Amino acid sequence: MDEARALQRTISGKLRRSLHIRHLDSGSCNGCDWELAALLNPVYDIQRLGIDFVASPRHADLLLVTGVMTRNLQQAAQLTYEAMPEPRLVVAVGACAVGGGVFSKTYAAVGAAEPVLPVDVFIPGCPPRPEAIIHGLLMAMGRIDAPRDSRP
Amino acid sequence: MLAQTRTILDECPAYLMVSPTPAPNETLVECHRNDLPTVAAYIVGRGAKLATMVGLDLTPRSRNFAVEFVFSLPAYDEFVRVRAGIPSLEGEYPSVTRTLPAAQWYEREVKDLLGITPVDHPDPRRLVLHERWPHGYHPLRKDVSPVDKPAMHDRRFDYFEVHGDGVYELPVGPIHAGVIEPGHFRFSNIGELILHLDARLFYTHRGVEKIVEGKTFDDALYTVERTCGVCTVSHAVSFATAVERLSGTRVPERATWLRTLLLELERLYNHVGDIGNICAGAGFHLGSTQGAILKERLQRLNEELTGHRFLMGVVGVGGLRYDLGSRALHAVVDAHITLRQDFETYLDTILGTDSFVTRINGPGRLDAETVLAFGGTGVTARASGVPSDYRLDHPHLAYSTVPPEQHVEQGGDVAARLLVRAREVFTSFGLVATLAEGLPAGPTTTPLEAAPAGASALGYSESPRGANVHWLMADDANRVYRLRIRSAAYANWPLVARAVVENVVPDFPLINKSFELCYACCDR
Amino acid sequence: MNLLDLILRPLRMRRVTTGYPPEADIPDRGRRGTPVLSPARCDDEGACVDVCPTSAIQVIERGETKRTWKLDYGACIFCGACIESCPNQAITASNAFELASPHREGLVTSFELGGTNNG
Repeated sequence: MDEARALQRTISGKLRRSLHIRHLDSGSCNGCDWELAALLNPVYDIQRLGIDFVASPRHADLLLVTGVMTRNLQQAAQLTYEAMPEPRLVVAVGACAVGGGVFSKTYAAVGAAEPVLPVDVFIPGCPPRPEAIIHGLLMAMGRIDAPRDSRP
Repeated sequence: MLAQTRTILDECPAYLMVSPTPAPNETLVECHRNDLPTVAAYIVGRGAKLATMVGLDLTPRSRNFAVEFVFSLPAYDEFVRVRAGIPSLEGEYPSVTRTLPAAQWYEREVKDLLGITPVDHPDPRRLVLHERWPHGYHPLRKDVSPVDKPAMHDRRFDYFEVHGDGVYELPVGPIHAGVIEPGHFRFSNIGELILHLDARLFYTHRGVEKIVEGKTFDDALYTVERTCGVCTVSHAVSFATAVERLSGTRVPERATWLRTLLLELERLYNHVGDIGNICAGAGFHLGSTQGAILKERLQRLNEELTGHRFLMGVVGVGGLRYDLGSRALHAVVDAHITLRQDFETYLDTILGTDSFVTRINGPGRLDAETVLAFGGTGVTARASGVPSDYRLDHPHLAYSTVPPEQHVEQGGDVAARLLVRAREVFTSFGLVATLAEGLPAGPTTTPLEAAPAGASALGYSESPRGANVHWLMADDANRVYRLRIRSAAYANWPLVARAVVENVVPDFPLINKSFELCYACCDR
Repeated sequence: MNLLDLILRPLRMRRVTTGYPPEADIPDRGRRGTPVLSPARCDDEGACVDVCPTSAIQVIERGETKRTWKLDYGACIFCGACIESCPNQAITASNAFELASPHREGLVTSFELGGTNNG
């Protein structure tokens, strides 16, 4: 476990100046998705941080997962992750992807993103605001190694 | 009995039995299941529109299942509910879809989730539970555990195929290129021309309706309002209203006015954002970025007023969970003055850009006849010449006192759907100011009356996409027995597949964005 | 629409981009902010535990007199029900938003209450 974390830090170190993200909605109510879409607007403008969204998992460094993992989408989610070349990261955005949220007990979903996908950073919220998502992405990139101000 | 309902039912060719129902503008009748196609065709022939349809497992109390078709009489603000019992050993009834195409998805859904077969349905494929789910597994049955995780099987889905020289299949999704919800689109094309689109959704099916069974109404609301993040107020209001109507609870006036105001705030940021997204669909970056800035300002105001950028969690059962301060409300109305001017300038800019205007005029044309046949609602309907708006057809909340102006376009194309939204933005700005100005004083919540065991009622609101109808039945302990959520997107998705026919594939994102239907609302 | 006007208008606009990182401009979310536990005001009532829709707040007994209170931000849906429910305002709303963590356990905050004393 510690080795995996150390490896993740090395990976994050290599991505310091640029990050390509593939978005995966595995069963979101869409709130988190719209906050992700907001990251590309002129107000949050993540491209100024060297971060951008890409159209294919083959071009991506990081898989950004929203929503609870539904059974209808589970296979596509796994295939998406498998299509990503190494090194790759996974970040879970929002209560559903982090812990199942209000949809944790249902026939229609397996639950949170983990353990179907190996998550590197968890960003709580319902939905988390765009700044919180930026914070989580920078954490994943290794620019900030430990949570700042995360104990309110 | 309600006047127009009585007129219609008196001449109905089949035998009907009236049952009592708590809500004032609803009538519940029972017919024999074999009469369903006749009754449905007759009622629709008298001007009614299909509002929703629900399958019920009543076996804990009787030996029956049931299906209920709910029809809206928009000119009269009346609802006719037609229920038929289905003996559990039979498990089938004659499908109504051949005469009422609007029923197509509802009947397939009831087959998937409850195992009640619509006999001779023209498209009996799986809808909600994809092909890998086991046969005979019907999660909404009362004897199925809410947390079962049945094993999946390897199977192929039967996509609709078009055969001919040069025709090819183009699969898109479920995971799409942009930041968007999942859905699978199987195109049949010749060159760039789309001949047919088989759209398959329900990838974000989370089982909301099963999750809330057995919960108290307060508890259920947390899940229901998270059905869709951008229609959250509409879902919360529809659900809360259903609870209040079936229990006979009178919500204080201040709460109904504030609910109305919140619905309009939701409409505002959605419509402005959707116009920006239409620009994105046309590759018009000035339009999409400027639109995104306006949307961001509106969401920021949402947060300053309620503490949440999507207005989630403000509406409660019995009223609101908390009051909104008059200073905060006036700050919103003040900010809207500048926002309205900026939106007007924005609209002039994009509609003054010839290349954009040329692009949006023409694609995705949907005619009124198709909209009516398929039960289209909201912006989709109004942009195709069909005046349909629950704020006017079934006035609820403060809309009876402050009715909005209705905006109808005839073109039915991308431009028409953009123009309807643009006009509604100005109307909503006006409504918000009027509602804030005339807001009654008083409490914002009231305790719920007890819900009679087995009582059922509708709750509805006009979401940014159209009529959002919730059907709710209470059990004998003041909890949810059955909830059926019929969002606007559910009714409109089949129309997207019709609108793209004979357009070119590169126009698909633009046409899709002109509808901007929520997958999450549809899939639940 | 004058083309020059069209080109010049964005140049005349104020900068809209946020200063985050490091400076975030967050409105006061009132009762809908991030819930924060204040052990000093907690008198062990448990109203928050009863009302939380996702059981994000839990109490774990640790023998006869000690109880550990846990708030899991990973399960929290930020509905504010806990904040409303506490009669002693031992849960308040804050504007904190940098809650992300590389570990699932890193989202859990807790405090211990011993016996009938607070804190």
